[in-house]
Amino acid sequence: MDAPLVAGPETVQRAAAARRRRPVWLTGSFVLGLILLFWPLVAALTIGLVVDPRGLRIGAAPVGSAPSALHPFGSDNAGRDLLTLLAVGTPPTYVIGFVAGFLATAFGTIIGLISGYARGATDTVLRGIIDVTLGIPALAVAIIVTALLGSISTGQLALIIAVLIWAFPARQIRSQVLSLREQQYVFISRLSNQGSLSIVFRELLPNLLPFVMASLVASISFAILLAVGLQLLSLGSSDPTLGLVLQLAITGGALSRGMWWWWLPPALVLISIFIGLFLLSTAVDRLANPRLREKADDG
Amino acid sequence: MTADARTGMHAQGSAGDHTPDDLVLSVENLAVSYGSAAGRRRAVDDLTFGVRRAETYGLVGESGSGKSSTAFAILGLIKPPGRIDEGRIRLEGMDLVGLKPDEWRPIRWRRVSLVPQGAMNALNPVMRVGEQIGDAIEAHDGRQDPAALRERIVGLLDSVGLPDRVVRAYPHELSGGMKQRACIAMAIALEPALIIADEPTSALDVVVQRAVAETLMEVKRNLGASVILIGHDLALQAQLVDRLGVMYRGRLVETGPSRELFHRPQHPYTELLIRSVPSIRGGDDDSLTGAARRARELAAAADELARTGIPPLRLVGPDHLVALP
Amino acid sequence: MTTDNHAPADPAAPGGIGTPDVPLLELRHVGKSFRAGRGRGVTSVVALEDFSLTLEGSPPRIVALAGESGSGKTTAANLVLGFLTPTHGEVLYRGRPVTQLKGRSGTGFRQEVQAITQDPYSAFNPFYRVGRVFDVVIRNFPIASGPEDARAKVAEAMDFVGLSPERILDAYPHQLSGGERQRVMVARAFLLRPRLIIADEPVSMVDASIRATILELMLRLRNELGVSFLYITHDLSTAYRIADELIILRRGQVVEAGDPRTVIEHPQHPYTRLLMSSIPIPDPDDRWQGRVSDLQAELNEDLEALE
Repeated sequence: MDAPLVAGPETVQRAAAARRRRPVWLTGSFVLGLILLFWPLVAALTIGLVVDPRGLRIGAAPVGSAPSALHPFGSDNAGRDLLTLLAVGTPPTYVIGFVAGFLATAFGTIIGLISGYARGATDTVLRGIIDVTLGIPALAVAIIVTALLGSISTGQLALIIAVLIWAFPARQIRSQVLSLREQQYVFISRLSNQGSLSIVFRELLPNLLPFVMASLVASISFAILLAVGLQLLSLGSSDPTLGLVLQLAITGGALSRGMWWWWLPPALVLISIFIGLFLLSTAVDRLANPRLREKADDG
Repeated sequence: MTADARTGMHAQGSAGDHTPDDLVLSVENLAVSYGSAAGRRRAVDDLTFGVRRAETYGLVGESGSGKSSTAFAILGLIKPPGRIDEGRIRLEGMDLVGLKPDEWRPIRWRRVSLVPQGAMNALNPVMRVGEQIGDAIEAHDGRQDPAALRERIVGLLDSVGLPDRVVRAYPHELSGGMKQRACIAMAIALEPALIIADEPTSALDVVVQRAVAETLMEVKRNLGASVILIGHDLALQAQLVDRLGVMYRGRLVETGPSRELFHRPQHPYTELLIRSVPSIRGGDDDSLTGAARRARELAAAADELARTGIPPLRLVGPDHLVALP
Repeated sequence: MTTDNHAPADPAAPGGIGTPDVPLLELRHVGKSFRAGRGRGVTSVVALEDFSLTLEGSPPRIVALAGESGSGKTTAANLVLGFLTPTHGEVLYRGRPVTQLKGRSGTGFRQEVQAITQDPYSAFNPFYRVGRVFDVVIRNFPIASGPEDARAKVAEAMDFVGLSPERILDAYPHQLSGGERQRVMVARAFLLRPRLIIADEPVSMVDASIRATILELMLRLRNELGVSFLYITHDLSTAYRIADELIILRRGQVVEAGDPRTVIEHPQHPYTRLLMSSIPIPDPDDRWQGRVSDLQAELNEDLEALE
């Protein structure tokens, strides 16, 4: 004769309230990912405020010296102060990654939206462009272009990379739009005389935000990867960057000469950035993948 | 013959025999609960009923009544966070509660099998139908000689009215009704004594539904098996079942021969449930207003039940039990 | 156009759609085929064939279009709403082809011909609050003279379906039950004051206990607002209760049409007879006779004889 529920109403309410306070994507791994991704930038910017730019010059420090009080990160084989080099070279990597990532995602999302919703001839054309662009080997083309162009700024490099990678978000968004447009609320919107543009941006896009986020993280990762790859080949911008430092270290024989202070810090920073991006992408994946989200919701 | 006071069923065993001979399935005081962060919730509570050999037993109830959980419990498919809290489930005399996974292998599919709801989800879309049936047979009956296996599969498909070509077909090449019949073929492959059909015809068109239902009854007759038909379509139940059990929130409200329940229901909830089923034969107060009124009465009766709780079952006629004080 | 923003254009007034004394909806020998497959495997799938229907509109009627899946009923709905173009024949709304009317917003077609759809779960954009469906409608149609008027009219619509604006309008779709969502859809239709509503399986995904309520609301729309319905369903018992006329579709063709009670109790066409005899009756003493496979074989023989 007792009610079938074993838990009392208060327990249920408290559990529900706890769930409401914390958004599903704000998990431990998300926070950790953010930290791992951004601490090098924060550190570099702070140190960059106090560091002496003359440390970048050749001979600013004793050649190939290990870390000391005066030069906490030591110096490279040309006597450049590595702390200054790292502080100055880290932010551009972020700039390239984020600018290229945002540009590629924004452009790709718009193309994906139009292509997926319009269907017909427009879709055929746009999809063709997307497929062709996807087929282009990004690194190979990047190498050729940057080699031909010689010295370019970080901004220009970001643009080149964006042009090479926008097709990935475009394809992702397009396939989501193809299924979303069959939802009945799109039908109701058309019945309500809502224009196509309004439907695409006001009805579909909000529901695509998880996928846009996921694409953004992926694009940023890919952009940084491309940029560092180019820098390791001494291509890309001639401003000091992490990749450049690493490249100099490798060609300068830092490994064989045991000059760990030269190659280890940039490598560690890069590893931290990529692990951070990876953790963010798995956390954001929960937004995009409803089944993962359900597991999180179930107590 | 002894009459088991709890199940109200007349048994053919000798006096004192706890498991009547002609009961294929005996469920006693079954309780199933699911846990979550909010606490444990009973899906099935103190459930007792039996299914005789070669009979069709219908289990009906609205969503949340616990009928699917009952089916899963019988099949040993309750997994954490769900668990069987209490009770016994005896299949042909053997207790199923507390069996270990490897003890289930000779039982599941060979002595009790499932025709699931929504063949779409049950069939593997990237495997040919014949292969899937073959796999199911070999998984529970050991490796088979390929030629004999193929013959057996063709025979199974034939018994459910499906042509040879289905063996090599993929699920998406079949219509809804054909897919469901393929699932029936899989369920009878090892000639079980008990088949549990969980809403086997939902989402099918009316004529196809009848064809699938008739197929199920035919294979049941040929095998001499028993069927538990789970669903919420009372009209379909009326066409197919010998005895019926009405569940509400995990407990049985009434159970008995289907004629009794449809023509002389003893519990007010049962009565309202039966009367709220629309029929093209017409009936008393056929109008929409009448239907809306009956729907409200049914909802009120359900609320009342939720408030007062459901007492244990009491015998009111041959095989007929009702949960009234 | 009349100055009363509330009612759709009066057909008798100059500038209104079509001419008076013309049926509200007319489908003349409509055929619709789709291309399926690609390259050399392209085939033509005939969804609707030689389909004709006339709905006078005055007095308002509920015409039920019943059929199994693949019978063409949803195709018919989309044709009437102007979302599909017929391969053959014409779809006329008040004497004018729908293909001409649907694009131009000045014609009032969109407001006069509305729909209630099957799935209350996907009919709402999960990102927005429920009240937004009304905002969109008010923004796009000449319904209200200002924000105050809009609020009043929405309240009136919610009152019609028996829902409280305070509780429902600010809620998100997932917080409402299927029945409540469907009632909001009916309220949306009420707000628009259409002449014709295409109701595509409006109760098949709603709990049995709410079905009668939704169907009652449809009847009230007909009786109180003069709205005609094209009621599309596969469930003949609901068609029986609500329709003035019943049309049975099979594989894109009309096999039988007439008064619902007559069609259901005295079916003439072999397919209709098969259909009626396959509907389960909730009475253990009134069970299916014979075997449906035999009846289906009989049906095929009868159909061949007819051709």
